[in-house]
Amino acid sequence: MANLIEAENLGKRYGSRWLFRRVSLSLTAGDFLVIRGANGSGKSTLARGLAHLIELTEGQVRVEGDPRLAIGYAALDMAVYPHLTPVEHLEMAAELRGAGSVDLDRFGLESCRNTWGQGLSTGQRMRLKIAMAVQVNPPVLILDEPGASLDDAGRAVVEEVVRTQRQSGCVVVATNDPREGVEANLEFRLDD
Amino acid sequence: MTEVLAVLRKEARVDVRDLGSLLTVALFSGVTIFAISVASFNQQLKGGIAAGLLWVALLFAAVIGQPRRFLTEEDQGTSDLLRLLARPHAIFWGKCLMGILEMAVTALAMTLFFFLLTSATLKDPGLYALGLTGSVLALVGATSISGALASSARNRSTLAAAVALPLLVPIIFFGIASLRTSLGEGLPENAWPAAWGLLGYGIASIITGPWIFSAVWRR
Repeated sequence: MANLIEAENLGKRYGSRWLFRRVSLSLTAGDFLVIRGANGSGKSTLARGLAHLIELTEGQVRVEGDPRLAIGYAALDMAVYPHLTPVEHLEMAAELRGAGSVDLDRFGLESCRNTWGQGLSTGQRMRLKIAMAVQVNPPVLILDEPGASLDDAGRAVVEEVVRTQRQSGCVVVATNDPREGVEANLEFRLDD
Repeated sequence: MTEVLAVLRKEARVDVRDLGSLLTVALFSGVTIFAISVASFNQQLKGGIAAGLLWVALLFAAVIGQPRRFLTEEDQGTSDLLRLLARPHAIFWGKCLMGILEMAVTALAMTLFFFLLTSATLKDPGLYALGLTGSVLALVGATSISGALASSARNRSTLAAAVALPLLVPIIFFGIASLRTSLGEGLPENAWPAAWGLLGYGIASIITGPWIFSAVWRR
């Protein structure tokens, strides 16, 4: 089976301190990798490196095609536009990546469809980011602390998204929450 | 083109809803023109002085509005979202297009109030139109590049101002040279090449901007 994402010898250094080093992974369809580690161990940095959002000090991340279309990414600390509604975010994301429309009900966003980003709760923002992440049906879905701000209904949305994603792609979740990633078939601890 | 228009639409929505920047630009431009009219009340405003004052107002409108479009993405934490969704050229041109629209409206409003409120007289409308168009494009191009270059830096606001300075100096010379002649002072044989040069500078900086921007956009 073809690898959907390959990472080889990834390392990130701040000053003289290596946050992590010699991290390699390759994921195929159906894989669910959970990255665990203590605060400050580099989970989010690794997730951002895999998503091509930051340049790592060493190593390479390879995906098939344009990373914008190959990788869906949502993180707790990523902001949304304070003056755009969820509908407008999704419209913009669709126009920029040639994606289709999104069923807002699937993500529990129907009730706040016309609320500006600044009026959304942290959980609603996370749902919106996850909706944008899966909008183009990317082969690779990377979620950083997806459940940290979500209620039970929100967690159920994440579980459903992960299950659906694994049918044709792979999932990477970076988390400290032991309730998350229990269905993962691969686990990676950064403080090992 | 769809991607550029998507970024343009986003910029327009954000600008209209968060009125802070638009109001600052409008207030600054309006107050400048009003101050010029008060200062030159009952006096004949010379072409060189009028062009200089008009250009200072245009310059500050651009400096206040355009680099901010790039810097706020990092300041408000939306840069990652934009990185995930858009390619650098779409972001740069989308933001430039919004800047051109905003500056064009500002320049036209300033022109209207300038000639209504002061004694300045327009001697060469064609040259004035070319000089103003070139000024708008060159100002948007230069301030977009400075904002784009500084967007990923730690002290981005300071860096944006520092980068803008060398980019803006030639524009100031060309811009004032073309406007002052159109307002009745200076030689047309110097002013027309200056106005065309300004237009060329603006077009070149807007066309090449995405290549500069893409070098700093992916960190």
